[in-house]
Amino acid sequence: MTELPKIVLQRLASAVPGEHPPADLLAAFAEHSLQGAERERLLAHLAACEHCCAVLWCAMPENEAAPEVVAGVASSGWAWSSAWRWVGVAAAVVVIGGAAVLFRGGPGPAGEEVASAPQAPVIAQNRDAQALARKEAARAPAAPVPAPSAEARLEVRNVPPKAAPQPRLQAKLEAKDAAPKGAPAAQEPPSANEIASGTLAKSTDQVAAAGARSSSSAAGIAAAAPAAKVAAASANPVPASTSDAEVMIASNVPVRAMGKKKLAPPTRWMLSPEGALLRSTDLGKNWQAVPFTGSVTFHAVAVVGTNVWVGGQAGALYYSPDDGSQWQRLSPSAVGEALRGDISSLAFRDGQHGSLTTTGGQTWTTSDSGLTWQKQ
Amino acid sequence: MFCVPRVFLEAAGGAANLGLGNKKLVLSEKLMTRAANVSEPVWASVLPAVAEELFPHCDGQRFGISIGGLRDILRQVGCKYLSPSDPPAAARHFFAALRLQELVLARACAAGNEAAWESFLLRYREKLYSAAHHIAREDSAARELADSLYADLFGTAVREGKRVCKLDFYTGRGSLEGWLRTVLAQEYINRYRTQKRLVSLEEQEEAGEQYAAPVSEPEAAVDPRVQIAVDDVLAALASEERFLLASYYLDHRTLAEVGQVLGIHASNVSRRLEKLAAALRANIRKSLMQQGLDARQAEELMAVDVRDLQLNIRARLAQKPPAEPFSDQKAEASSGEGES
Repeated sequence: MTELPKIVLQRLASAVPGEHPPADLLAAFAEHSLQGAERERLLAHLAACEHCCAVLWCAMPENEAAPEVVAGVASSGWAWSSAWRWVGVAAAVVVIGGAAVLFRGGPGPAGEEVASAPQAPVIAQNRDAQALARKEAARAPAAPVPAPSAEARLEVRNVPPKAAPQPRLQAKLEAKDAAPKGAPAAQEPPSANEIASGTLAKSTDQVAAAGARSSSSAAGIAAAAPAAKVAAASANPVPASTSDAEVMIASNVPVRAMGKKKLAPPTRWMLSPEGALLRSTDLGKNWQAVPFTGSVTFHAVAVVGTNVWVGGQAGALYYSPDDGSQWQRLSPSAVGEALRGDISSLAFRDGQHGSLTTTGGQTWTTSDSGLTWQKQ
Repeated sequence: MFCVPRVFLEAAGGAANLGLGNKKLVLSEKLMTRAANVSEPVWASVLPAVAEELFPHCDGQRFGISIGGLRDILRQVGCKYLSPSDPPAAARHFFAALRLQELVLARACAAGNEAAWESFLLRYREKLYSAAHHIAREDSAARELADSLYADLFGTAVREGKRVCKLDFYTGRGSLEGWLRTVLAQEYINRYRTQKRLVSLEEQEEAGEQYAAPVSEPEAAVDPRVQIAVDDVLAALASEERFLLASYYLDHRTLAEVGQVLGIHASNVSRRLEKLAAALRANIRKSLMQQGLDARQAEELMAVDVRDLQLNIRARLAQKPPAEPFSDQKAEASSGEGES
């Protein structure tokens, strides 16, 4: 970027951004909830106020698209290619094994082996689906899917810390020296005197440098987290464990669908901040709220194949065996005691076996998809 | 509870501060009373109906907030963001757009409701730490940042004998999660400045830091006609366009980041910036010609000092102050909140 000449820095230093907006307006703006004159005023302020801009950029979520990208990779493309790779390997083993048997020319057991050969790909396919799920779970945390915003930050902040401070801030620094003593003080935020004293220029650069130094690993962590979440709730043998605090998006990959020519997009599940269950059938582009009778606030969702469980406030627990087409209310009870506490997490290792925990610390387990429960 | 416009308060306070004697003070009290009676907002008439309508959807009963309590909360939020003359229909629309469940949860937490805190921690604890880590990008700093915010949220600070809980300042305009992130970001930036203000010169010198005397550059001489033209053109820009220019040219944000904030694609940002730059140039040329220059002179003036011209555009962008305050009650609210 072009350096600013001193005359411009002096002019920049006299910038008066005016009254700063409250945090909730900034948050609403970042979430595109502001409209009309309010949005115009805020934009006008942001155009003139580097402090609020810094807060805004700092408070932006890491990467809104990351879960989608990760989920898509984990549940469709990679799964397909990897699955077929394994099927290919299994078929090759069978062919080689069959050829070896034929060369040996022995009757009896060898003949049986050849006869059973056509079934091998199917078995291998199922086994591979399990291996695939395990690999997904193992791969997800380690796979640093690049997060665009993190990269962008790296790109922005990848400047020599002392050689190129941010122009607006550097200008403030220099302008302070050049400003006339009698000039009226600009209206500043509580710590704006620190901006004027130039510390923000330096500190922001250090923030920037620190960000540049650590953003690659941070991006990896940030991207890996959703990947782990998705993988954890995606396929069969990996326990599908979700809670409101830990897991927000879950998807399912029907293993059976792997044999079809065209794979329908897996349904994805998510809990909104308000505790509503949301479903997406187009890889997370659009989300629809799943209606339930009454106002139920959910805190956890678990997905295994087409089985979906969702639990929340006051022991509310619902189960769908068919990817959300039909729902049944489950009422966990054991020895006459019904579950009344808020469900904080759900974990299922397959379609039958799973457990839930409550905010009160209770743990309940089931071995029949949630129809009956045992309190631990 | 009445909403007294700031104008009345200032008028009344001003009379008292002038020290004009008891007579004036009595007058100002009368003025205050009249102001309080007059200033009942137009939209306040819908509050009871709106509160009753929204109450079943806000978990108020669960967190110990009654319909009356919800009405007070809505009134407080309305006083902050609505104009007293706003019609009831607009107020109804405004209240319906609030994040009511999160607002009630926040206010119940501020009031010390145990169930509310349990729910808050369940929903936001991990998110808060995650957001702090995203902002601070370092584990210990992130934890410290989040913990300090927790202290503010719990209301450990006492001001004028009253417990101050930061959650009281959440008004439900955006999501509670977004608000928490923003407050964290504010805290981080303020804290970072404070920490970095003190730099040990000895330590820096020991570390091999060398300080060169600043070299004063000659100030660029810009034709005043260009300044006037740039001012005129920038003043005619929409605020979103100014924000676009400031984000990209001043803050050096990427197209993707700017697009994310504005809710548009990066390629769209790029196109708009290109168009904007071209339009700026054309309009400045036009403005110069309106000042009596012919086309060739205008081109020469711009061509001679294109660099300064571009830079002055940025200067004027940053100098543009917002026209109006964000709310009448802003000063009161931000005094405790520590807004940016």
